Amino acid sequence: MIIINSKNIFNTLRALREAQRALDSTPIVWARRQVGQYIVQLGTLGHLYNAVNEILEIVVAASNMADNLGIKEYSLVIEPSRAYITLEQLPEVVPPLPRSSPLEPLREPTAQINNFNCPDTTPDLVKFCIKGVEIAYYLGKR
Amino acid sequence: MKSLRKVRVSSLNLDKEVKDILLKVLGESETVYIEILSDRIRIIL
Repeated sequence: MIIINSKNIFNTLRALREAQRALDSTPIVWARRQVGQYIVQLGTLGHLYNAVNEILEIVVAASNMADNLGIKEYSLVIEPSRAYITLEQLPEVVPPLPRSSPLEPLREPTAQINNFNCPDTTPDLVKFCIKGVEIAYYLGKR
Repeated sequence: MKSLRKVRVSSLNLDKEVKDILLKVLGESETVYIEILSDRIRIIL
């Protein structure tokens, strides 16, 4: 649950905008971070982006609604399945975010080439080696 | 430019086991190109 006081609405909006921009500009293929217990990488970032976007929309909608109703001081309560504004001055609740730390990037997959006993490879030749003899065949150029 | 020589399979001077297989597979009259490398002989079919 998140509770935001009306005084901090614009700060919250700005923070969410910045988070969105940071997610936008993260190179998602190699970025890997450990945040608390979770590893954030390709795939997770889309969910994070959606979550940030959803909260952003709720905050914008709530502040518009408060403006329309002429409410100056209020608390915005965001629960998992609903959100509402109340005139009560509730203490703010912002879930603490664990610090993130960089993780070793994923290694590129390695492939082993079968040289068929030869110590090297030669462009355009298919070959194998046996007892100091290399039997080779030219691959036609395509 | 590396030098390639055209040689008949029957006149190749190779390890007997390898040559026998080449003879069996290619036949005596077949010609191949050979190239002498520092550590081995390259036979190009």
